[in-house]
Amino acid sequence: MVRRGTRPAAGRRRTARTDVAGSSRRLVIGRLLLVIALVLAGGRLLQVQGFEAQRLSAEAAKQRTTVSSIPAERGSFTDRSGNVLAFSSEARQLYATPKRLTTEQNKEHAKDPSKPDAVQYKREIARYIHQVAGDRIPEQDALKALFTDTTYVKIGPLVDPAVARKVTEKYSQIGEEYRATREYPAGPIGANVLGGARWSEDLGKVSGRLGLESSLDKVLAGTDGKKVSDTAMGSDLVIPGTERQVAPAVPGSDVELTLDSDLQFMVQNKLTDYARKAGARSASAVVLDAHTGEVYSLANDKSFDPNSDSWGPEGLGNPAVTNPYEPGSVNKVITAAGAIENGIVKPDSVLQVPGSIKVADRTVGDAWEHGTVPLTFTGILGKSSNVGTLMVAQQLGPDRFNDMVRRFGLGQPTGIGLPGESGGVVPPRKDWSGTTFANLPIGQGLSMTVLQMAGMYQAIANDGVRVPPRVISAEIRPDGTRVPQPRPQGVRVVSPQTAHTVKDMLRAVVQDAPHQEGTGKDAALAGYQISGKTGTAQQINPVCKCYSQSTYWITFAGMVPADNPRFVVGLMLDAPESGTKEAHSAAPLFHDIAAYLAQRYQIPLSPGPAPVQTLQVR
Amino acid sequence: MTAPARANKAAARTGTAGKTANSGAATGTREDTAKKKTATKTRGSRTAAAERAYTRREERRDRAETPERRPRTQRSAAEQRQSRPLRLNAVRPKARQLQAKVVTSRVPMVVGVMALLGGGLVATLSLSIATVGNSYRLQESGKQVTALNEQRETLVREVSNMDSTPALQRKAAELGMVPPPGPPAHLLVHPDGRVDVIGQPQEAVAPKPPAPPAPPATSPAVPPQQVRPPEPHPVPQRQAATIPAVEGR
Repeated sequence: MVRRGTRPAAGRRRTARTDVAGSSRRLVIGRLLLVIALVLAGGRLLQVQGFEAQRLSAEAAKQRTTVSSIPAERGSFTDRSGNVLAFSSEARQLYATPKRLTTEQNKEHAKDPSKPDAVQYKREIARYIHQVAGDRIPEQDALKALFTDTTYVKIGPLVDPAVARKVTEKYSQIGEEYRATREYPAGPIGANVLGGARWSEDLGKVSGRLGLESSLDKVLAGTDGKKVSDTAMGSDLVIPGTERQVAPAVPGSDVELTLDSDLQFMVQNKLTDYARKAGARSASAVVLDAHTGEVYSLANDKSFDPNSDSWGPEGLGNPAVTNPYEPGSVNKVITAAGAIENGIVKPDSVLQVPGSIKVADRTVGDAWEHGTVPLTFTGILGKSSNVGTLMVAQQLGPDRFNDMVRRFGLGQPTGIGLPGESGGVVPPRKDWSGTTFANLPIGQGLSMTVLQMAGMYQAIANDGVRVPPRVISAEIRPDGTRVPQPRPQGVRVVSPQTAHTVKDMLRAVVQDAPHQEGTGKDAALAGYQISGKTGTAQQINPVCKCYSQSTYWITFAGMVPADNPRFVVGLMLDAPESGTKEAHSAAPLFHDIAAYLAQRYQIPLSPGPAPVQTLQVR
Repeated sequence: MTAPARANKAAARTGTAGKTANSGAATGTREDTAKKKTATKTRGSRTAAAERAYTRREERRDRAETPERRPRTQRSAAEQRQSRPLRLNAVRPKARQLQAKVVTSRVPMVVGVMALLGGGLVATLSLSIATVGNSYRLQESGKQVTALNEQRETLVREVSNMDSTPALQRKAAELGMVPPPGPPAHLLVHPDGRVDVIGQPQEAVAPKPPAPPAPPATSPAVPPQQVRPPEPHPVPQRQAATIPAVEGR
């Protein structure tokens, strides 16, 4: 196009120009060269901008851009009143590169002797770090770190971002690394439920290691955002104004628990104290809402402080939900509920209870020596007669008993939402031998967790409907919406009438009338009617593979107040040393917890003391 | 194209004749007459458009004083063409020339474009200065936000730590508060005013003050401003849990 366009004009003027510029050949060659250069440049342009554009721009971006993540804030845990049990915050780890610092500073000093040499400079830095960080980083620690002969060293523990900034702004040779931290204001309180989370170097964020922190990690963690910035080649110096957010960080959800941190504190302290006095190997306690099944407190005698650098070795687990045990006489409530529900006996039905009973090939006696005594059915529970219970259980029959066991939720996990929950062991009906049915009604030969045990009594307290316990109340999304956890379906265990009857009968356990004493009179609380049941179960002796005569599980389950239940409390002491008062029964501990509950929740007094029930006909 | 071109000559002649005949008459009248002529002549060899073009050329010739100005006036709008002779007729010929020059020159447009460019430049500059200034302010504000956020976090942390049950228990113990040994008693007021005491009230007993005042338990983890001066009479009634160490984070 270009050539064709110019040719005729050039042709016409050739004569005129030839005089000035010389030969026409020169002109043609010049033009040709220019055209070739233009075509080459055009071709290169096409290649760079067209064919290789994508590859080149990608390469450029790779050299220039740095993708970094914006850390998402981990959700917090709160108790039922909104008290924070665990939360996240930011901190910084100061670090130095001592070897490089020494070489560079000595070089500087050689160039300009007015500048301090490496030793002086390090001392100066250490002094400043201590001055800014205070007691958190003693000068000695900073000095020790700076004078280490290594390429990289961390200086002291984590510090606040503001402190780190002050140090790094003044001394560019000191670096800071981002760290997220997890704090537990209440320390070991509720740690068995919450578990623990700590910084993970691999993931570059706080990750859950134990308990709910671990099982709810996905909910709590949130999603990290992404940030792209242009950096000068070969360094991490960000070119100002090039930082752009590709995806914002989405903070994790907060989790609201049903726990009451004050109650948890009290229960944990009392339980620890009691277990220590009783010389128990371990102890667990649970407090449930009588109607909703919400867990107000779930405690073990051993806990750990998730704030500390080293956890454990004791108290890291949550035996209250993971370790089943044989409940002993607490299990008699199943026989009682079944017998009342099926009209086999009435509370005041009198049974002639002998000193022992033979079921299949096993002879079972009572905890106290007696001949044949006339006990009411209430008395059988109140005095915790094995013989009487087995007599009634025989009338109830193994099938109906087995059915009741399942309806009370034994042999299956409650689904509380805590990791590692055990459902206990109940032998399948088809595997029952004659002796099985001699054991189960009195709480031997099957196992349950303290949570399941409390769950049985919750069914009695809640008019016969068992509501599986829950510990997570709601999830609070980052946008503030509160998503309550679905309430589990209640399971009808017995009729309301049966539940009332059994509940009233269980008041006899804490009865303290002359000649009509229950086994758990220490659980009684002035002004309130209390229903409950004591339990003692023999542990297996690993030597003889038989029931031990010296190690027991001491249990107690009860409700407060019996006339209008608000709370159900389950207690278990594992292998207390015999001889102490505390090792004999957990009833006093129940009393303490019930007293605190009544006071804390301002439970109205019962209309009057519980009527004295006849346990043994005289 | 050749036919109307040839016809042009005749038309030009006729046009000139028509023009001279109507010399001194008002434009409107001239147009009318021209149109009439066009109407009569078109029947011969000219198209209507060509006729109008010739008429316009005649008009222009009338108005234009200098021959070199003609091509420019050709580009002017029709309205200007119509009104100019009337205005120019009122002023002296020299002034008339100058005015015509001013009106028809490119200067206004050039000045206008320059002003626009200049204005644009100034606006761009001022905007960019404002942007840079704002970016500095933004940076400053960002720093302030970060600092305030950090301060907020520190305060929230302090509140959470001091608000926790173990910390409250410890503080209460420090203040000398002692839990009662047993559950509280209740006063039951009957409708007749009679008052029953339910339960046995038990007095809380203050513990004996320890002989040497225990040194305050200061965790190295607690920032210096949180370290309280030692209580005059520390009452370690209970071994309460200490405030969680910050280093355990």
